[in-house]
Amino acid sequence: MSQVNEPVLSVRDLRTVIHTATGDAEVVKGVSFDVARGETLALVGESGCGKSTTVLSVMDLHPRPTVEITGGQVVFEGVDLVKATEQQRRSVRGAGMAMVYQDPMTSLNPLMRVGDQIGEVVLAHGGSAEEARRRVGEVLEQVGIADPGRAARAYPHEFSGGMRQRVVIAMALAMRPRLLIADEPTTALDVTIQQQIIALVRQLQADNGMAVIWITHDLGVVARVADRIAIMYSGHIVEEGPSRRVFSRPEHPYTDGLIASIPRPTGSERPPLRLIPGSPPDPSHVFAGCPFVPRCPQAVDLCSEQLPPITERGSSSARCWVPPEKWTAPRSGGVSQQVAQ
Amino acid sequence: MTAAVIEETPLPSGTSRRWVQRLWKNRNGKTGLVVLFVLVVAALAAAFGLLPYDPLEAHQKDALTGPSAEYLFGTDQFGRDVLSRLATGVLASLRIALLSVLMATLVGGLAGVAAGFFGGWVDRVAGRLADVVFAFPAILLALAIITALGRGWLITSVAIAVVYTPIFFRVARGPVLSVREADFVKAGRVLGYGSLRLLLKHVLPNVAAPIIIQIALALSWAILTESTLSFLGLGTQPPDPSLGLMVNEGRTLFTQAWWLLVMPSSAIVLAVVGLNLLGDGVRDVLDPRRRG
Repeated sequence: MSQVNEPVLSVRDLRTVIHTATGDAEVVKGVSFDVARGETLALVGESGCGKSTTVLSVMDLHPRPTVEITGGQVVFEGVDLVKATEQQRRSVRGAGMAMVYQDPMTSLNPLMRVGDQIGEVVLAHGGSAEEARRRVGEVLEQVGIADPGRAARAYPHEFSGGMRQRVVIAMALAMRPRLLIADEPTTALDVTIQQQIIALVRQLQADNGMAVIWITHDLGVVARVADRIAIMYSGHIVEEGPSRRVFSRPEHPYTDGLIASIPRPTGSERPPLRLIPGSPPDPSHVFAGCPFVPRCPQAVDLCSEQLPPITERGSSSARCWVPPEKWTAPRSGGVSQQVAQ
Repeated sequence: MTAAVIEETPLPSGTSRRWVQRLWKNRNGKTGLVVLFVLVVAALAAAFGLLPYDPLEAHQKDALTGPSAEYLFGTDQFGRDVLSRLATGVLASLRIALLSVLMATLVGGLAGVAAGFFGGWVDRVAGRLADVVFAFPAILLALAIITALGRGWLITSVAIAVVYTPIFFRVARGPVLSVREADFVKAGRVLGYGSLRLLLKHVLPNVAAPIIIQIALALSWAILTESTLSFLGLGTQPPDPSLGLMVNEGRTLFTQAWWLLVMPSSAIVLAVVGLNLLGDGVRDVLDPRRRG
């Protein structure tokens, strides 16, 4: 079982800058995280916090030349992709790591049969036609599509949203990737279908030990899928830890606020839904201190003067000056995973 | 195998592909197809020598005969059969129209797709070139090219192709800009596809519809432009028959022999209107927003 803890992907101090007409904005400000084999890391945060840019940088798909990686390492199976050649990176994309998108309605080519689209992945990575055909049947079966032969001959418009998302996942699986990046794959789906897709990804993970990075802003989904959680705010990972621990004992006031804003329909009384006042800062704004200060109920003077370092606290780590035992404002008190579900 | 449930079975496929059948069911499309068929039959008859008379053969005693059983569309001032000349003229027009539209589609369409897909300096250079060509009135530009390069059906085709290339450039470039940003193209990059594969297999098929519609419309314009050039004496040269040339010759004799003007003029109108209707029909069939 030693393999379980070996990181498939190891990101160190990744920095990504967007060049705009009004100046440069650093949207990923030194992000570090690991994803181990068979593990699911949830990357959580509000829109514009840098989670998508982080992942696009990992995949080397940031739109150039407006977005540029200015520092750090992205080590995938021992190879630093930031320094790798385009050839190396292309062979990693699709084969080593694959991605599932948010909207299954637009992530398939409407004019190609489903089977051809899946097979093309194999062909593009040097597989034979025979191999491609065989793999199409295998992955369609893996993602739970009955009658794979018939499905392979169909066009994407003949499928419903949930079925298309299965096809997109099948495409991602075609080259047996070691890392699957899921960019809000359930956001565009009905809640019941969401469940099925989550169950499917977990099942696939259990079957072949794939690592998964699950990007989402939905804490309810996080509670169901994640082994570990990384909370992003304004280009920083502000808290990272095992899923259960983060939900029950948040170490950062932002995490605490996010958890407090989950509706709890099961409670005997229904207090007004808590929310975090304000909105995330403009990424081009440079802070001396912690970027969460203007919205933080627990802030002390030090917070606006100096950016807090990442502090290990038990199995979690957080980027905050004020440990939870010194918080003065009311807090969520944490939540068990059962409640979040 | 997973325990997940299938929520829908796929429908039978292939219904969207038989668009020629759907074109036939469309009123515009059917009219266009019929006209195109008539024109092609006339042109083929001319090409394989199946005409009632030699279009250049003069029957002096029958000069300026009106339409009759012997000469269906009458004869001209030299006694040449108007029907045979008309069919030969249609052949000349279609040949030039097809060749020029083919060239314009290949050059303009490919440049447009490349410009839209790669962007950057490729887009800027090609875009400015297209603007320059666009800045000249179509007929004037064609006239200038023919004057510079000389006459003959090949050069006429090139002249018309140059005029219509920027239109194909723009028609191709626009949709590529949006398809390039579509998730399935991004997904292709994620899956490690190269630019050429993305361009040929994923972008091009998705922008084909507007280009195909444009081809049908450009054919009608090309026939009109060719007729105009011939009318002005810069296209097909006498004694070879051409629609524009026949209109020009018939013009002077209109009071004595109406058929000399009416027959070629009607042929031009028929061809242009028919191909326009065909273009509309193709659009109705290919444009998903117009599908019933």
